[in-house]
Amino acid sequence: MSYRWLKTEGGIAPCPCCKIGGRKIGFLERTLVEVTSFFRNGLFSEEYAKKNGILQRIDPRVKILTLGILLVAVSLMRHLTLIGGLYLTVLFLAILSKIDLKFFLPRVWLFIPLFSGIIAIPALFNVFVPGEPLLTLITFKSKWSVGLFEIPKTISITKQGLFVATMFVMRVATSVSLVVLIVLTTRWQYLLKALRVLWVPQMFTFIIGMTCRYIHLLLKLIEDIHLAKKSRVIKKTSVVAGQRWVTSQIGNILKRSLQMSEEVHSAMLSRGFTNDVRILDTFRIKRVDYVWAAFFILFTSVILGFNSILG
Amino acid sequence: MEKKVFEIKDVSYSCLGKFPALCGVNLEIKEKEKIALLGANGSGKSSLILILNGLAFPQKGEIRFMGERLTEESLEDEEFNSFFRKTVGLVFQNSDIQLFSSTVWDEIAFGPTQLGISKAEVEERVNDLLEMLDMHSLKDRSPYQLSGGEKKKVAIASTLAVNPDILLLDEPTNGLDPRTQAFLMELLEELHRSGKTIITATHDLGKVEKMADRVIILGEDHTIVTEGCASEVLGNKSLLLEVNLIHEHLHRHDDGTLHSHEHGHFSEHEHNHNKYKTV
Repeated sequence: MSYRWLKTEGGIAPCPCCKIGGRKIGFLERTLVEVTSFFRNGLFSEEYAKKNGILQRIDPRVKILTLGILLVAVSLMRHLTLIGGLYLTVLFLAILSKIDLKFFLPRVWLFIPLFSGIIAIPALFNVFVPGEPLLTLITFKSKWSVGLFEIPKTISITKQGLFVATMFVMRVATSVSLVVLIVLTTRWQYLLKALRVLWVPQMFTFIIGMTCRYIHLLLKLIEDIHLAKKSRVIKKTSVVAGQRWVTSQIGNILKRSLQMSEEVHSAMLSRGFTNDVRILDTFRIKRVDYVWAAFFILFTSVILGFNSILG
Repeated sequence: MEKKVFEIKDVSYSCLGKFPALCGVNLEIKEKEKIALLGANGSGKSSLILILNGLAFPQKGEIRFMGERLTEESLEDEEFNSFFRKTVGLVFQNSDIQLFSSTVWDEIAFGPTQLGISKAEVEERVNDLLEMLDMHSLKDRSPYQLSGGEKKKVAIASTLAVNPDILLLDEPTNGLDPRTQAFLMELLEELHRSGKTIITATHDLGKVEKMADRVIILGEDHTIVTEGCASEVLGNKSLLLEVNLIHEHLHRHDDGTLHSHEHGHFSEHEHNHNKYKTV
């Protein structure tokens, strides 16, 4: 080895300057770890899909069809008590499918305020839904107009508005719960295959399947790039340098993913792919599926019957 | 006399149109041959394999498959494309690229399904391959849940499921543990005995004699430097040094004598040191 700077002179001495525990894990690293763990453990772990619960035993096609019918029924309900009843039924099904409610409930209710709350909150007020006031918030000297809207003299939460908002939130919550229940109790590949069998365009489900598959590869790539950088970083870099590095890596990963997509396409062509995906349907319907389907159609019909009787 | 399956005439190919990968290559491959494409990194082995699989097309020269010109246009013909894909299979160097389905079972079934083989036949083939490669326990796993060796096995199974008469393999032993390498060698030997044409791109000199009867060497100038039977080509040390397949290795023995010899970059030191040692 002829380079002066490449020699190790003396022994390895203890670090004279640093104090252990002084530096905390940065925002970028934490985000990467969280995102990777969300995809690996949360989305694709299939922990609940492998359990021996009631919904896991049902053929995925039958499950999607029956719960899909229930989903339509939810949107037709006009009574809060019936929707509440359906929501409780979904929770009961989750328990029978051995899903921990502490895991299930946050998944649904975390997104409800985000997506439906924003739409439902204005409906509470008499500006949008006039009616019997429950709680008066502001009183102006007189009513006034903003563009097309007429702002009344008093702004209050109305009984009718509360009903509309609650109905909307409960409909969304029950529908989202049903979808989460299907996803949690069905393995990804069976879910996609069942959707294909149920007339969802093959190309669509095929692309979703491949996306799931390659999210893992890209996550692994991002993780490796980050670790490679981490292993060579000696001191803390500035925020601007960090931002520049992230931007350059976004471009780098985009380039690599484009290259990967070309290579994957070649691998598909090599095995006879001609832009028209053919699939093999390997599902077999069992007696339990017929019983489940009959029970669920009856249950949904009864609920719909009640809905029309109550008016 | 065996039939010619591939005829390559004066083929030149550049990656992205600017990095030369093959220059004026001429080659004939006959049915039931067992061929190794040898060359240093970047000599053009993988490009040649892609051209043989109709996934890349030369900018100059022509390639014929069973007498028919192999071009993008000819592969647009549904019947010819189906015949070609059923006959020629490729095991990619990077298994992650090849494994795009959600489970091992689906991955193996993909090829035969695309080629319109009946459901019962596909199921039989997949189950037979899972048994042959001892992978029944992996059938419902996703490719990201597999080790490197398992991924390679699935990649091989997914290609074999089509039952190609000609099998192309790009660096098949790369990154495999010794047991999986030995298994692969035996499998290739068995496939060759069953009548398949095997073309393997490699730079693993230690495996070449087992992999091939005929060896084709690509030089760093992207041309075919020589071809011949494995023992003859591997015996030509000066040529192997010239094409960067072996390097001169100098080391000192226990008795202080300096000893130099050649060996492949990637294989073990196979020579016997005992005769140099002082007892």
